[in-house]
Amino acid sequence: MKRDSYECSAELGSVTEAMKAQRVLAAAAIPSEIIKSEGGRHRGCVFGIGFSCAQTNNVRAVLSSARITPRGWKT
Amino acid sequence: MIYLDNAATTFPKPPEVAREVFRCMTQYCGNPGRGGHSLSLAAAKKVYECRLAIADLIGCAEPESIVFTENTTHALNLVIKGLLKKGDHVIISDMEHNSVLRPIAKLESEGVIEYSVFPTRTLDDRRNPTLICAGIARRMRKNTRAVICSHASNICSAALPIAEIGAFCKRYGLLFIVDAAQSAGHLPIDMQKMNIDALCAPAHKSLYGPQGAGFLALAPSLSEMLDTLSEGGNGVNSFDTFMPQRPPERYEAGTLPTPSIAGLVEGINFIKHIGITTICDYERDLYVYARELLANSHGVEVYAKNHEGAVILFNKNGKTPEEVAGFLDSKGICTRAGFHCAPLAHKTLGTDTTGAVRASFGIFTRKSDVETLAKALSEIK
Repeated sequence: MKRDSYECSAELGSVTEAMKAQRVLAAAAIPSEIIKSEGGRHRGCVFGIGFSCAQTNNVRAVLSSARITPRGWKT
Repeated sequence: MIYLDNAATTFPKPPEVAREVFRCMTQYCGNPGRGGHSLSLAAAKKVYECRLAIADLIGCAEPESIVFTENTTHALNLVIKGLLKKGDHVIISDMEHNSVLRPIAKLESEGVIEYSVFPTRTLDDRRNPTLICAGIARRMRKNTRAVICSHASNICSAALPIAEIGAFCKRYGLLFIVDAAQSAGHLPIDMQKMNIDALCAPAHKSLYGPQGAGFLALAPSLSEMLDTLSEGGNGVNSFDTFMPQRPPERYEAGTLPTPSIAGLVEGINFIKHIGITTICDYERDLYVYARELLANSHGVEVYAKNHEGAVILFNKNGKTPEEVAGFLDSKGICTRAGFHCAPLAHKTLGTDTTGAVRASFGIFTRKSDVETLAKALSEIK
């Protein structure tokens, strides 16, 4: 169940990719949670991370610098 | 019971390893990377924790390039068969275990590759890294793709200078694949500093984890390059017909051995707490003591005794290795006799017609165990 404060999300892929993203975000003091979505256009389930929308720009920057490219964003 | 077969598997395991396996199986062992529920995510978190622990231990650049396998053999098969293509040539050492030799020999028999064997100079008193690398250089061809070798032998305490071999491979554009079955947790390893492209190891030997898991650690040079050995479900993108491009899920089809992986985390914590150098020194001291006692034991011949580590190989004159090991077992001493799945190594040591008895030490081996071994050997008439 998603926390109310994590209303934004980034779709990543495997649970490992999601955990890598969570790890780099945690290192930047950005809280997040692992989520699973149906994927839709990604042809099956994917894992991603949920985060506070207030952190969207920071999340984008941190993931980009870690060379993590989300498949989609919900912001 | 005195257990001196740690090269086969370490025993006993630290209590915290067994506790974590039990805790996993009773409290959080969902299927990692499958569901989005709390138990699946808890299991996935533990698996990821293990990738982080392994990567930190062996200097792997990316924890996500730690691929879990059944054991070292599975890891070696994955990298050897995933990497090598028709026309490739590889160089292996003269001390290799069948886990390297057999997949290589199979590919050769199918006409896919050719291979050469370089001398480790295990019995050479003037052995040095320069001479060993020169032996590799002499066997290089235009189509040589990789050097594949064990870090430490499973039948004696000989270890290869993998830092120097890695530097050599980098200089000549060769991939370097290391079988660390006998060295992970026993000898220091740093994949990045040693220019290792792939490293294979088990959970259940010197990492003091349970049987059932091993890993293949990949450098960025190889992480997305290997053909897959098996394909199947991995929890994401079910409608994609093919395995994903990136590790680890690319190479991990099917359910992982989560309880074994959970136990491995505690095994790694255990050896980190003690320190690999401390463990290595402790086991070496046991070896030196054993070598001294056995040298004074009538009719016992120790092989490759110029190498000091955790493994001592010997025979007793007038008895077959099986007879000796059988007698030792009757005294409650566990050793392994025969050829140890390492025909190349036995040939190098000159024991390929007789086989030998192997006693191998671990962190739980005591000096008194070595004394009991020597005493038992002296009772064999």
